[in-house]
Parts: sequence; structure tokens; C-alpha cells
Amino acid sequence: MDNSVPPPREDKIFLYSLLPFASVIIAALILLGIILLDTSLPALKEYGIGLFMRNVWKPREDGPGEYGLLAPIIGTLETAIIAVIIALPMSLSLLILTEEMMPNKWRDLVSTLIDVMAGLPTILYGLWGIEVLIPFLRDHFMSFLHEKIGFIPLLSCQPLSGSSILAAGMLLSIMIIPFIYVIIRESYSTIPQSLVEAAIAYSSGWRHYVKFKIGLIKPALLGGLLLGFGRAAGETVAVALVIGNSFHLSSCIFAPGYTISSLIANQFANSMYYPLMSSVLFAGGLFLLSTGLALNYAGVKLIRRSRKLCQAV
Amino acid sequence: MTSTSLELERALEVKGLNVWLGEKQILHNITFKVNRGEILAIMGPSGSGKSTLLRAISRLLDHRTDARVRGEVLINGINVYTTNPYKARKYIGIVFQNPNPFPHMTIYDNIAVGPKLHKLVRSKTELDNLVRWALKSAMLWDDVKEKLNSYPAELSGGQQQRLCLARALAMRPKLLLLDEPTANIDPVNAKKIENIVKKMSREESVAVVIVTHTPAQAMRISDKVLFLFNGKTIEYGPTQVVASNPDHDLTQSFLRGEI
Ligand SMILES: Nc1ncnc2c1ncn2[C@@H]1O[C@H](COP(=O)(O)OP(=O)(O)OP(=O)(O)O)[C@@H](O)[C@H]1O
Ligand SMILES: [Mg+2]
Repeated sequence: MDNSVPPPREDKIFLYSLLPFASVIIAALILLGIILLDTSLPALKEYGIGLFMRNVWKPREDGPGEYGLLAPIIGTLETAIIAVIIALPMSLSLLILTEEMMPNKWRDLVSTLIDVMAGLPTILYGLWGIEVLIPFLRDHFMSFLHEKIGFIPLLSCQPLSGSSILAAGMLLSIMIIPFIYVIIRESYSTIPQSLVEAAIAYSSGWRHYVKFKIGLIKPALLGGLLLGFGRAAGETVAVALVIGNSFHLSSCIFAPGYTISSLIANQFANSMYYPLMSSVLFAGGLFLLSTGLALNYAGVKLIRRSRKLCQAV
Repeated sequence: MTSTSLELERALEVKGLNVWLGEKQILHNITFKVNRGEILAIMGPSGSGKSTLLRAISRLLDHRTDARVRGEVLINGINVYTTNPYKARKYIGIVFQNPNPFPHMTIYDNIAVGPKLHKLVRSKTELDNLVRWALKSAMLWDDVKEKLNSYPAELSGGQQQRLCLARALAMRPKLLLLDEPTANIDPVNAKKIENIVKKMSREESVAVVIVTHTPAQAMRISDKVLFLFNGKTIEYGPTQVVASNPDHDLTQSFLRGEI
């Protein structure tokens, strides 16, 4: 940090005494990386980069078998993209609703409720997904879309069980809406009073005023979406319940699929019977770790940038 | 002069204005008028409610849930508190006490955004001209003409304040509300800005309300003075009269720079 001051000498001892605690957590992260790399090395050696680019899942008990993680990787991206696309307008509307339109009493109630939602165990969303979301999607939403606009490749396949990429994406969106909302509300509500006043003074109406303020937190909004994307990509159990767990590679979001996380959760118990399978799963973990680190890093940076931007003047 | 033209003369009329923030009453029964082409200086010690008064005039207290306003504010004869506030603000240019340019917009856009949103210009050329005129009037053109597309964070505090002045002027307001516009600006530029404000009021009949801590500045540019103390008007009248013959001891000591 550019504005930090070196602590006076006597405080240095205190500083050093804190170091072990701080370093434990950093060490844990580094160790995690090392372990993932180490355990996935056999699979990487056997299949090379093809492990991430081929779609095949042929485990063998008496040999290395054939593995490729393309379907789960694409499934991960697809579900997370669907989730973010839905979550963006939803979390923004929630933000405007609570921050600009509701009377104080309601606003506190609703935003507390959303805070609580953000912290609920995700398996609950999974159960709700199976019980409510999937039947609804199957009976009313997917077949309707398929009949009306099925010529679009994304919607081209006959919906069957309801367990699908779409179901997983929608479920994820419901899980990350509160998460993204909390992040952008933090930035939105801390826009300095002086800028709020300038925004009011030069807007030609309430809508412009809100747009102004959203413009001010744009980096944080983008950062929130990235963090939300990372979250969606890493979600496991709830997705495993609704995605259908199939290696079938399809451009249609009504088809069942897989994500890396749900693959690991589903297959890990079996993996001890097959040589290399657990190593393949760890390689999937490595993929999640590296993309997760990159996304979260960028997201956190953007949110900081947003804060700095408002403090710059 | 007929009574209607008298009405039109009156750019700003404040009648019995009371403001509360939370439990505390900040302004008590403030009443004054500013005609077109007239400059009113508001003076008073720190915390006396000067900035709050400007906020109340432009309805910038609306979004504060703890603020309560009672009384009337008429701009060009229209009660601000019973019309669409965004429409009313179209005629107001406001410069706040602390520079607050939009940090996410370029220098150019900071000035252009208001006129664009309020549809004051019809073409890009017209907008370019307006921006240049506003920057020149605010004594900022020479500083920024090479970097209209950079961001205000690159400017010094005084330059940012002049940018805010340019932003206000670009609205071609009928009423200018200036909250210590020259506080962070060197004396030479401050003097130039005073002249611009004077020119706007003389030549374009803009009504000006300027908050200032500098008695000399008030003497130089204002036609009228309103002296606030603890949210109450303790002196209000033509500048010459107040300067030579103040009603109140407090005004006297303030003018002499004692408080
Ligand atoms: N949110 C608030 N709640 C309660 N009181 C407030 C609030 N904001 C400001 N005040 C009070 O309102 C009074 C007037 O403040 P204001 O900023 O209008 O003074 P000012 O005359 O502009 O002072 P200065 O010359 O220092 O700018 C002050 O006493 C201040 O403490
Ligand atoms: Mg003030």
C-alpha cells in the first residue's frame, strides 16, 4: 500500500508476533496448490493438455482408461454464464429497489433477508431445485420455449427430465444473486454524499440519477459479477442434484451435463477403484483453483478500484 | 413597472424557510429575495447553515431521510417544493463547497453531461462550443485544453473546483448557487472568477447566491448581503448599507475579521 507508514520500532515486535498467524493461511493456500499439482501430475503426464480438451470418460480397472474433461469444463462455464446473465439484472433491480425506492423500514427488512439468503447452506437451494425448479422448468418453461423458438441451437433439443444445464444455471443464479447484491450494495451505499448530490443536481430525472450512481460503481459491479461467476463455477452439491450428471456434450441448454465440481463430488468415491481417475479429478480441481484465483483476484481488484475512484475526488 | 414584470424580476424568493436535520433545527425562518442580475452574498461563521441553505433551495435535502423542510422557495415564481425537482434544477447551476467532479467521467463529459441530459444542445458542435465556453469562463481552458479526455483525478483541488464551476456554467443557469467557489483557488484566478460571476450577472441577468468567508470578496461583488448566525438571519440588506452601518455587533466583528 502506498499510504502505509512503517511502524515504530517497539511495534515491530508485535508485528513479527503476528506473522506466524498470517502466514499459516497463506501457507495453506500455497500448500493446496502444491498438493493439487502433485496429485494431478500423473494424469497430466498420461494425457497431456488433451485432458482438458477432449470429451471422453472411459474408466478401466486394469489400465489407465481414457479421460477428458471437456464436457464438465464447458458445463461449468455454461452454467456460470447463465447464472451471471440472470443475476445481473436481478441483483441490479434488487439494489435499486432497496436503496432507492423502498421506505427505510422495508428496505432494512428486505436487505437483511437477502444477507441471510447469501449465507444459507447451498444444499437447501439444491433441494428446492429438485422439488420446485425442475418440475416447473420441465412442465412449463422448457417445452414452451422449445416449441416456440426451438430453431435457436441453444434451445434445440427436446427437454426430457428437466435436469439440465439450464436448471443448474438458474439455480446458481438464485444462489449468486444475494451474493452479488451484497457486494454492489456495499459500493452503492458508500458513494460519497458529495457525489450523490452532484448526481442529483445534474440529472434530468430520477432514472438518470440512478444511472449516474450505477456508472460510479461500474467497476464494483463488474467485480461482483466476476466473484459471482467464480462462486457459481465452484458450487458443488446443489448443482450435482439438478444438472443431470451426463458427459453428453451438447450445445443445447435443455440437455443434462456436468460441471467440474459436480463431477468431483459424484465420482470421487468411485475413483479409488480406477487407476488415474482420482488424479484426473484432482486435475479438475487444479483447473478450478487456477480459474478461481484469477477470477477472484480480478474481482477484488475491480471492487477496490471502484472504492478508490469515489475517493479520488 | 407592472406587477407581473416585478414577479419576473425575482429569480429567487425564499419565504419563511425552516430546515431540520434530525432533531436539530438548522435554519430558522429565512426570508430573502434575489432579482435577476443581482448577486447576494451569504456570510456567517462555520456551522451557521450556509451550505444547508443552498441545499434547501435546490432540494438536495430530499434524499436525506432525516431532513425536514418547511417554507417556500420560488424560482422564477415557481415553488420548487411543489414541482418536479429535476425540472426546477434545470435552471440552477450549483457549485458545492468541496470539489465533486464525476470521477468516472472525462473532463469533457463532466461538463457535457448536464447539457446533454437536459437537451440544451442540438449538435456535437454546439456541445463542443458550450464546453469550451464554460471552461474558458471558469479559467480552466488553458490548463485542460490538451487533456479534455483525461479524468478529473489528474487535476489539482483548485482545478477540480473550477471544473465544477464550468459544469455549473454550462447549464446556462438562471440561478447560480456558489458555495465558497474560490476557497481553494489562488488569488489571481479567484479574482478572475469573481469577474466572470459579475459578468454573468450583469450581462446575462443571472441571479447569483454566493457563500463566502471573505468579507472583502462579498464587498467586491455583491449587491446584497445576508448574514447568518446559528441558522438565523441577523442581517440582510444592500451591501453598502450593511458594510457601513451594520445593525448587529456580530456582523461588525465578522466584517473586521474578528470571528
Ligand atoms: N446530517 C446532519 N445532521 C445533523 N446536523 C447536521 C447534519 N449536517 C450538518 N449538520 C449541522 O448543520 C449545521 C449547518 O451546517 P452547514 O454545513 O450548513 O454550515 P456552513 O455554514 O456551511 O458551515 P461552513 O462554513 O463550515 O461550511 C451545522 O451545525 C452542522 O453541525
Ligand atoms: Mg458550508
